[in-house]
Order: sequence, then C-alpha cells, then structure tokens
Amino acid sequence: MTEPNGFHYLTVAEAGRRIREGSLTPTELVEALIERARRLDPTLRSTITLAAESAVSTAQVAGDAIRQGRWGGPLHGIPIGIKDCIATAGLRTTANSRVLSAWVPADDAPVVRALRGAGAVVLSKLNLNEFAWAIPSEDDLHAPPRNPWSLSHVAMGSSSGSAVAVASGLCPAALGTDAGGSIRQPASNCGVVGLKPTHRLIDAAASFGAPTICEVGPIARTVEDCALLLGAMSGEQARDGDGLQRSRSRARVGVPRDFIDEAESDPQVSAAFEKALSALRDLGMEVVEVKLDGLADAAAADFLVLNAEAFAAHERSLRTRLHDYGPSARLYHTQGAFLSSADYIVALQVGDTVRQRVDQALSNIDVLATPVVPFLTAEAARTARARPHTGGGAVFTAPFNLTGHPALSVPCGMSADGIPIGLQLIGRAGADADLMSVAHVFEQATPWHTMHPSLETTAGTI
Amino acid sequence: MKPLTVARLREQARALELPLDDEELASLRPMVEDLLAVARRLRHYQAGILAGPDQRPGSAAKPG
Repeated sequence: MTEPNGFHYLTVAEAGRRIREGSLTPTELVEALIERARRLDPTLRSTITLAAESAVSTAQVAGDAIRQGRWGGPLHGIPIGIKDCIATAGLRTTANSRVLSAWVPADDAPVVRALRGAGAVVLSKLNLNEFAWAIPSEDDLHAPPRNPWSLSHVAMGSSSGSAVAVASGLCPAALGTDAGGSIRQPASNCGVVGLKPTHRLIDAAASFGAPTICEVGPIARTVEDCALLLGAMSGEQARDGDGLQRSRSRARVGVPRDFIDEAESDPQVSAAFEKALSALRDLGMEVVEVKLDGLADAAAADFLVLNAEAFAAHERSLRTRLHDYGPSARLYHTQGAFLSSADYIVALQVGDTVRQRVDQALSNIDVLATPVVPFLTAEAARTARARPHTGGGAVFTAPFNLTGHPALSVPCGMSADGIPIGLQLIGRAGADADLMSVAHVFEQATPWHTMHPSLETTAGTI
Repeated sequence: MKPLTVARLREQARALELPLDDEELASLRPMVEDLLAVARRLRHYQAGILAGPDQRPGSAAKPG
C-alpha cells in the first residue's frame, strides 16, 4: 500500500512548524499515524495500546486552539508514544507484565504531565521488556518488537517499542527509560537518537525505574527533537527553535581507548566507531585519548544496584504474585534479594569513585565518545547477557547510569546486513544541552539520520 | 567461601517468603552466584581505592 501522505517521517520540529503555520492540523497528523500503526504494527509489535480515540479528541482540541490563535509551543499537537511502564492517567499501563495487565492509573507520571502541558498528544503506549528488566520472550504479555531494519531480529531493549515506533514512522518521538542503556541501546539498534539525561534532571516518578540509576528520556529521529522534548520534560517553557542554542564544532572529544578495546566489540561496530571519530575530526573537533579507570567496574556496580533496587520495588508482589511475572522477569527481579546492604553500599561507593574520575576527565574535554553497544543484534547481546552482572551488552552504557552523567546515542553507521550502529557521547553532569549540541553537529554532517527502513517492502515479506 | 547450593538458596528464599520452586531455584543459583562474585570483586576494588594507589589490586572487571 502507498502512503496517503508524507506525514509519518516529519520530525517534531518540522511538524510543529507546519502546525503553527496552519499547513498541517494535529488531527491530520494523528489520524495518519493511527492508520500507519494499524497497518504496520501487527508486524512490528511496537505498540501495546494505541490510544486512537483519546488522541484524536485531544488533537482536535489542539487544532481548535491554533485556529483561535492560542499556539502553545513547538510540541503543540505533536503525537508522542510513551513506554508502557510510565503511568498515563486513564490509559492502561502494563509494563508488559501480567502483574499489571489491567492497571489504569488515576494520574499521569510527572513527565507525561509536563509533556501534555506543553501540548503533546499521547498517541500510544509502547512495548518493552517486562518491567524493563527481563529477557524478552514470545510468551510475554506482548511479544517483543521486531527491528524494522531487519524483521528477523527483535529490537534491543528495554525501550524497544519506543525506538521501533520512532524508527518506523509510527510517532515522531517517544519516551523511554534507561537504567543501564535501555534508551541508548534500542536507539542505536534502530537508527534513531536516544538521550539519557543527567541524573534527576527529569522527574522519573511513576515509571517503575530503579531510583538511583534510572532516567526517563526522549527517543526521536533527530537530536533537535530530543532537545525539544527534554526542554518540555524538564518543565521549561519550550520556545520555537530553542532546541539547540549553539553549535559546538570546536569541541574536544575524549576517547577512553583502553576501556573500549577491552570490550572486544563486533568488528563492524568498531569500524563504525572509528569512522565516526574521523568525521568528528573532519568537523574540526579535537579527538584525544583519555585514560579513565574503573568504567567496567562501574558497569558491574550499576547492575548490582539495579538488582537490589528492582527487588526492593517488587518485593511485596514477588511474594504474593510471583508467577504472574514471566519466567525471566521473576528471576531477574528476585536475584537482588540475596545481596547484602554492604554489597549495595559498596556498589554506590564505586559509583562515587568513578563519577569523580569522569568529572575530572570532563574538566579537560567537552564530551567522551564510545560505541553504544558491542553487538549488532539483540540476540548477540543476549548471549553476553547470560551473565549480565559483568556489563555484557551494556558495558559502554551502564557506567554512566551509575555516575549520572548525560549520555546519548546518535546514528553513526550501518552493518553489512543493514542494521544501524550508534555512537555514544557522554557530557558533563547538567550540561545536557552542550552534549546535544556536539551530537547535533555530528548528526547534521552525516547521512544516517536521513535513512529509514523499507517497511512497505519488508513488512509484506514476513 | 561456601559454595552456593540450591538447598542454601531454598533456605534463604523461604526466609524471604519467596515461593520459588526447585526449577526456579536451579535457574537462579548461577545468577546469584555471579552477582555475589561481582559484589566481592567490587569490595576488593573499592578497598584498593581506599588503601591508596600503591596498594590497589589490579582487579578491573571485564565485560562478560
């Protein structure tokens, strides 16, 4: 089937401009995306709940406001998807678990409230690994999302549905959560941008995340769109065009070479990373090697904290409803029960130590650069995750959950089989805007963000 | 360090009122064993940091 319009790959920024000038209405955009989701998502499996009725109704109200001269900012009338572990008032929130299969929250999570306040339209609740901490399975409440670039693979998680929906043109942007890489890895794997903000920049309440290490963040098709969402999520009054205040073409980029080499990444991941560094040099940035000890230990410590906090959050329901959790989620959420308080405290101390080292490194450079994930596919990463406490597939991403620094994934290449590969950039704590400025310069100088999966062909073949 | 057996895990699970069956305990055992090994390694690592650079053990964790 051909597309009835070209709306589905509009960025947030471009759709917002068209809505403001009146050449596109929120209702047209929402209806086009609903039609696309109904057609493609049975194959992609990115969506748990499509909020068609409420989204159309909200879009009509947003359109009425525009016609009456009341434009509310760049997110006014923009449809977004929400990872289904983030509470949405009046809209089922399952966390892809039978434990919550019928839960309809009374209140929005603060981050959803902030986005609705900025004019965004909640279009869909998106698929994830159960409670964002489990190995996905075909027997899950909702089977795992497929990677739109290669439908024979599932997408990396845990915010897999968010990345798949954005990459597939089912929504221009979405929210994910990230306690060890769960925004950045699926973003990398699906060829979109994902940001884990600085710890506590965004209120992550009501999102089932481990409170010490988990952030709620945006996934979008451009860095500019992530910046627009982040501004609204942090409660700032979003202004048109304020996504990226200045470019950072003179940035100094640090590469923790020993740490990267130790991970023994897939050669195609390594090659894409080296090409990305060359592109940064070509842009006039200075790329320097930095010695940064303890990052692998921080990855391991992050998983220890995750396990301890996951058990603490689920303790009561594990006792009473253990077998409503899927086989993997039940073990993943239980293992932390066997840790001691001393184990937990030492893991936090490792975080303090490594945070100071990263802060020190970032006093001489603007950003750190690493690959996002050492593997090309979720299946390959899962083999390494058989022993997840040592970092595995999250070795590059998890350290910065524990240290709290902002980190993002921006597309930087493609495997021989056409699977996207991401570049991770890490910035100073609280300097999320500076981080995004560097990423924006890289993104705009490379072609990867302009590419989209050939769904009209591949969806028909599965 | 005593090896972590399914029997020991079962005892701990009972104390925690977690209704895990034998199959689940068997699956959980290597996961918990790994987790506790990581915890031990991190204690060793952090003890080295606190002791100062000259006495720091060269025990950086490798990704799995």
